[in-house]
Amino acid sequence: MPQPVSIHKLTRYYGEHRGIIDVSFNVDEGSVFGFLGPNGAGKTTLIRHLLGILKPSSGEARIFGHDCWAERATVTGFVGFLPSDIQFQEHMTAQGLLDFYGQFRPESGYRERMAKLAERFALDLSRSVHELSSGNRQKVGLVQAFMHDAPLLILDEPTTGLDPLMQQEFLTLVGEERERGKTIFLSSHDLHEVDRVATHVGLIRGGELATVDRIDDVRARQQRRMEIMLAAPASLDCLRQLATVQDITQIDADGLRFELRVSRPLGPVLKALAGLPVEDLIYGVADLESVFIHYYNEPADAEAET
Amino acid sequence: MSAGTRAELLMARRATTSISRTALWFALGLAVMTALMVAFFPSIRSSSAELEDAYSNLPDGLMEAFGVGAEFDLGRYSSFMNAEMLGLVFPIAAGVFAIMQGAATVAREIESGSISLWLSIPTERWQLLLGKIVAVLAGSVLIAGATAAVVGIGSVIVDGDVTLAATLSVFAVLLGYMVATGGIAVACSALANERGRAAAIAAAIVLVCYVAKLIAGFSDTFDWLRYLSLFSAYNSLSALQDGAIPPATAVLYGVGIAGAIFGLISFQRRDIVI
Repeated sequence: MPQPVSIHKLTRYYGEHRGIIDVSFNVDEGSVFGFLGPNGAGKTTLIRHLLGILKPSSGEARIFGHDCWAERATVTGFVGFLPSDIQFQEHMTAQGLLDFYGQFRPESGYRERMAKLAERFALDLSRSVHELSSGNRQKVGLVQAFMHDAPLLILDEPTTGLDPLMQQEFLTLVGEERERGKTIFLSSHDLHEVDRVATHVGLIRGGELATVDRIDDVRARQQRRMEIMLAAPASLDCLRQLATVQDITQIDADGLRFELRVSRPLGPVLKALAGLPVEDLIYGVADLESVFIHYYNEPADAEAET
Repeated sequence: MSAGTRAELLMARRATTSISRTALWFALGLAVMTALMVAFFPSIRSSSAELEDAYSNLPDGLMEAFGVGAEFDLGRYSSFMNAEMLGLVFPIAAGVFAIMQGAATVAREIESGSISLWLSIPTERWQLLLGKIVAVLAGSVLIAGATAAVVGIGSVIVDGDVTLAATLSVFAVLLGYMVATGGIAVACSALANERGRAAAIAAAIVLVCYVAKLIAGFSDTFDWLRYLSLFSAYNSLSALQDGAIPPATAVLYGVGIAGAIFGLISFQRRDIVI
């Protein structure tokens, strides 16, 4: 079976302005692909290509082997989609709106899933969509995306406006859907969110793909923050000699607390620390932020994203 | 039923529900106004000679501006209703409905930010738009039908000269006008990102058509402008008096259908930069 998402040299210009340039990657079936990038990096532009809304300047995007531009109607049948900043034009209840979108895919048995999802997200379906808060509108969008039981979910900034409890519920749902064999393409600028559910991660910046990798591999090569507190001043030369230790920074005036950037393997570091008067130690969690934050810190060229 | 047809019907049903309230108000408003004109007619008929004297001193072009031709006869129900209702008031009010609703079909989805979700429906874009066009058509049928019906019923009440055949004929003309203006608006909407811009362009086209016919009526030199105007094909008086659909009405339907087809093709092919 063709891959859920296959993008090959996808390029899009808006006149002379850059949208995305030469982007290529695949998303494997059953994976959760976290698509990261600063605002204006080209995330939404890429997603609009996947939905056949935008025509590529060159290259192609395919979903389950179907060209996203030439075979839009077929492609969207495979997709449960949540747009960023969801808006509804219709003056109807949430139930009416979800029924409207569900009726286009009657074979999906959406009604039962709709009811369960609404209950799960504590969404009152009897209210008019125009009366809903942004968080509740987002819930309607999430129910709409998941209720079709589509094999591929494309979710653009899915937790925007959700409270922490609902964010947690959403992340749990993503995990469950993955276990059911669904493929999930999750665009976000929230590193923590992606870190918690993604199996793969891609980062786009300035319209170009900076990296695509398995999240375990990313974590394996990342530097993690370690903070040590000494009982008495001591030389840290034994740590400085190690190739796996970078950036030793003193963070107090007494020369007792230091911050280190440490990469794997950890054994030599622990051995060196055993020879020092270490009173306490904090070892940072393996998060994506420490890997990708430098991409975010550099000024983003936001002019092209529309 | 094919999946495509089913999608069109679903979209048409939803869009019809969405515009039904607006269409009802327009239909009701025009029906009430037409009924008022019917109520005025008996008193106008009794003093038609004096009024016609006054009107006879006005230039032909000005009379045409108000939808009144050289064959104007205030004592005749068909002439009166055309002059007071169908010649100018209906084209303005019904034109507003057709243009605003036609312009909303695509451009409002883009403007409001709902286009991405709308286009995630697994069917061809042209089928989604066709569903909305059907809804605008349904609203137009209601508005034109209500107006024509009151004209026809009024004729029976005041012993006018409008027959059932004439009522049906004028309905076809009124609907043709709404199809033409709506079709132009749909074509504009399929290319625009804002409803206001699409509506403004469509309204400008209709206004230019109206002014062209007006100028043609003022001067023989510019008589050729008549052939560039939609309003030359809008012969409501002829339909009322002859009881047959004027052949030029086909031009109205032709323009409307051409506009809609252009809109469908453009939207299907369009690269939507938001």
